[in-house]
Amino acid sequence: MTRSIAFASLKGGVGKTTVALNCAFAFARRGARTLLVDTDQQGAIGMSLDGVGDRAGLAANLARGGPPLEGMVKTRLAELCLLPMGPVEALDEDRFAVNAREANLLGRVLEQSQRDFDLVLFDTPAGLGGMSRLALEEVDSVIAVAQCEPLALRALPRLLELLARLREIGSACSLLGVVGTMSSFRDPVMLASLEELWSLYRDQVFDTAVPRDGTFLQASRAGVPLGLLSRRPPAVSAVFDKLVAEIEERLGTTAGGEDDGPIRLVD
Amino acid sequence: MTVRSVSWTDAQRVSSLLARVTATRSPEPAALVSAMGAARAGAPGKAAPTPAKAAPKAPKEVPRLVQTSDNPADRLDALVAWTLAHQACVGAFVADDNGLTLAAHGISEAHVSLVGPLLSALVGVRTIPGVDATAGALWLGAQMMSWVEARTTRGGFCLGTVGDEALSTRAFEQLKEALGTTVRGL
Repeated sequence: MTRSIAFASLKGGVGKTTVALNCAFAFARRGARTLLVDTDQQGAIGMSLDGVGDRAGLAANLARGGPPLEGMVKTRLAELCLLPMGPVEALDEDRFAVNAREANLLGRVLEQSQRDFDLVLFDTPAGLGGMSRLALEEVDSVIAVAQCEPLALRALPRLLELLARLREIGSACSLLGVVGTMSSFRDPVMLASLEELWSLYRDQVFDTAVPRDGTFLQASRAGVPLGLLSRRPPAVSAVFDKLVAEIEERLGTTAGGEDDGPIRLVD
Repeated sequence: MTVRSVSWTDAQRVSSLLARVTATRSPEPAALVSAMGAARAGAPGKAAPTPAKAAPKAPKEVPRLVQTSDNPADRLDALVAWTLAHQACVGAFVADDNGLTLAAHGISEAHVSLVGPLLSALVGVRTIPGVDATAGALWLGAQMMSWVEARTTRGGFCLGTVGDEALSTRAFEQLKEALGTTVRGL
């Protein structure tokens, strides 16, 4: 069964695209056939990856009424494919989500992904309307991305409210967890924010928080996932290996809990 | 000055929302990758090796109470809700050191009327050197009433629980901390 996860946040700039992209890479490295879909009309995935920004993708498929996965990009990892947004005609932006809903664009993406992918990850734009809402209506699970700072924390309940309302009217999407981003133990406000995130959202918060680290800027500048920044990946890239291990555990796709202990090298 | 929380978010509201948006997680693992189709048919389907030794089960983590409101009534309600949610009890109450019940949920009138005499009795106990009367428990028939106290410049406050079993030492510490957090700055 193909699992689908949206990375969402009301507030912009919290690291949704960074988390979605690096999680997709980490999932693929673990052997899961992964499709990363960019639902952000700004084309955040395209802007984050060298060689992807100019490619046609979801937007062109919608405009032409073509197959939903047309324009899918294969990557260096056999298990990882991308479906970028591609350029959106400036005058079409207002109606993009409406047209996407009418065409059942994301639903068709998921339908077409069933055979070839284990996992479909959706990077959503900031905000809770338009394409974000559409993604939440279609996926099984959502991961709330919360920057460890006051405004992002204050905005987080709004996402939960939307999710609760969508579930009331029939959506199957549930909260898979909350991931704290740009955390730092040196800054008292960030530390307090992370502590409060843990306190308020308890076991919904992933143990793995994504730290504030200059390496992210280097990867952004180079237009690559952290794991491909250099032949010897930066230490911070391991954060996403830990995060996807937690996600897999929550999806019920790995053994965890009390069995989570040392594993013998030799049987 | 009361330090306001970072998120300005009401913990009870979040708890209520989380209950509406989370799904029950299946304890049965289903391999994400082994479920793949023909392209992976040749991949070894061996199950994950069994851990050599199971890790000791950690005690259930109780989140710290975060007070997000400056309103005393809201703070006391949040304290009672947190206590009911995270401690082994069926009822909880907050009283001042005159025995006046300030907030309560799930306890009987009889228990409420017991609070005053109980706290009065403890005044005498406090004067005995070497006795810590800031926490205690009392069997009442089939139920256990437990309480912790916190003192402020405005007097003392008591947080009590009623349940079928005795609270652990750890639970007492958690209750003390939660009560301290609540009455600080009132």
